Amino acid sequence: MTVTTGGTIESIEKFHEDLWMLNITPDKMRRYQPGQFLQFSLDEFSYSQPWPESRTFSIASWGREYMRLLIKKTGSYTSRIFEEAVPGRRVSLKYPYGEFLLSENGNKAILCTGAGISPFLSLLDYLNKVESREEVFIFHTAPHKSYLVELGDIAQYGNVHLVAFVTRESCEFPRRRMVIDDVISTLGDDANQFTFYLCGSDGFLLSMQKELRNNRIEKIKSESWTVFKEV
Amino acid sequence: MISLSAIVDRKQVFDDVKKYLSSCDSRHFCPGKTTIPFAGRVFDSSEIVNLVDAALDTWLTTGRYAEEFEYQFAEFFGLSSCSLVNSGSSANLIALTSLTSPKLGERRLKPGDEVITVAAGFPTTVNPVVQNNLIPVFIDVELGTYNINTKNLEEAITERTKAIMLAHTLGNPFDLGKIMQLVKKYDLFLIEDCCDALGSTYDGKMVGTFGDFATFSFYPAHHITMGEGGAVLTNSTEYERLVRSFRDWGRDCYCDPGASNTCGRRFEQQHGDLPYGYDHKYVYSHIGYNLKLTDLQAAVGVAQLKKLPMFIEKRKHNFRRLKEGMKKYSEFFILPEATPSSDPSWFAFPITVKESAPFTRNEIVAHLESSKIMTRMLFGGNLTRQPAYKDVKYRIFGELINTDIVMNRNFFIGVYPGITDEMIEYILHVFDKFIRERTQ
Repeated sequence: MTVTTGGTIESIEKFHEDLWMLNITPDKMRRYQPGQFLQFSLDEFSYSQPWPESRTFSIASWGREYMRLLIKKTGSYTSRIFEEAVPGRRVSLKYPYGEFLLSENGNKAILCTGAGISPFLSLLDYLNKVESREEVFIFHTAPHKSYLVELGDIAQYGNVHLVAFVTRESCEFPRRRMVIDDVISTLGDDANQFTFYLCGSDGFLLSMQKELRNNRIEKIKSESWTVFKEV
Repeated sequence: MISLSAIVDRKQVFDDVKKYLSSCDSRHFCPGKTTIPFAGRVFDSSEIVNLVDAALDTWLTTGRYAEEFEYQFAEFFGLSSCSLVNSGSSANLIALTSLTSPKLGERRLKPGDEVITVAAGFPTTVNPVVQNNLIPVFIDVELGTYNINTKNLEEAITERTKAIMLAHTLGNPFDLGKIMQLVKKYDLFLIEDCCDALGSTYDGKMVGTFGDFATFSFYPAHHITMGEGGAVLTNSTEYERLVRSFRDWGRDCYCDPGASNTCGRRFEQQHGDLPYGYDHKYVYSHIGYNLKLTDLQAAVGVAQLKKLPMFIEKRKHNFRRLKEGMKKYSEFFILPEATPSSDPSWFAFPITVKESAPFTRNEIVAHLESSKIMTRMLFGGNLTRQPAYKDVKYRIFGELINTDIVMNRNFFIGVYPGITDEMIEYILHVFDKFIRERTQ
């Protein structure tokens, strides 16, 4: 059950030159679940015409009066967003979509790369609001430390733990990609008690799913549309 | 193409529509001459203005009004999902068929599985069971509530029982306390057919919020109308996807009409044996239907929704007045009784003529009809005795004694919001006259 609505860009957080967070207030705010996504268009929509050119983005927030969209510049449309997005700019939205739902109970292991952290930011909002006691491990490989967004303040989320890797610069996190051994050694014998949520590039998803299954882990959910690949 | 909305001043059109409608308004009740329907639409200009507005959009298929109705209707129930369809019967078909989806894995309904229901009701509560090669198991009903008799219901449950699909008969909630207890104990699916029960509550909670699915009808006889129309409600995102797939040709993609690439991977997925990247818009994961409704219908529904609280109160008011006026004839009639713990938003006022009465059901019905008071039977009576069910495979648990009584001696009259106090007075007067004549 979706809603089609206009919205206004309220502010922009520039985490990196190619990674921005747009804070948008939709004209019609509807309920959605952490993990769901939306259709975003820079163009106006008309109820009498087909939906304009748009892109899909995870909703990177939950339970706020506005929505956050984490956008990585990868192609022509996202480049247009980076050129045209300014506070006050009107946009068009259609939401919510998707079955990559993160509000299910239980301990979670999140494996993501780059801007693939986006849907899990809504989970952090959710956990914060519902005061969940479930344990969440976030394994995140990012090219730059700034891609970790506000995960540096992870302590505020109680039982949420960050295991980060940064590939293109030196910082307090290991300078390499995550590998399956990082996950298994962190979770130990309890690994099977976790549901694994994966988000990232196709290659990352395929290889990590295979590795997890090799380690007899079956509860795996993945979201592959957020590859930020543009035609 | 020039958009009509660009060249037409809609406000002027709407004002003209209102002017036209006010010139047509000629409601006047003349006892004995004006027919009192058992049900009917109650409109003012807002429904027609919305209808014209939707027409001027020239979109016609499911669109903005459908989106608005789905949101508001789901909010009314506090549920996450409403999917509009073209009728209440389609809603039942889609709700039950969704439970046969392979996407549900071992949980899905398979041919030969049993679904508990009743035979005293409308056929399209039961037909989806038959259409999906499942076996309806008929349980007898109670007289007075006209709902399933739950006393020995547990004994009817076998290893093959997978679901319960029941209507809240004529707006009167079935025994949700007992049913929910069995649903949980035996891990059964529950579909609440709420087509006649919009606004009824059980234990203070809206019917339609207890089961896996709730279905509604917006045919003119029902609590609100779109002409034709229906809805499937659920609180499950997983079920919503199945409902929409079966509704929209069985497709895998969830693009709305006119939209493309909603998932962002239209040409980038592997589906079954199709070539990689086959257009997701034309990938089918179910043997589906096309049961969408038009935006014109939804536009009428949006205006009707605003009146819903008033409609519900008026139905309850009319029911109370009839019940009060008919109490003195309880010697001859079994009068309707609300299920314990419930507050029905009545669809109608059902009456069963007692065997000891000095007249038959057909005689009182003929008298009412000749007095311009419309009557109806409790739909199919006993469905197992309908010609259509002659070759249908079903199981009867116990005997359908009361179901036969419903078929032979029950009828109902209306309580819909178009029935005024003056009409109620007249209806009671007609009953008085008939009883007086028959008992002298």
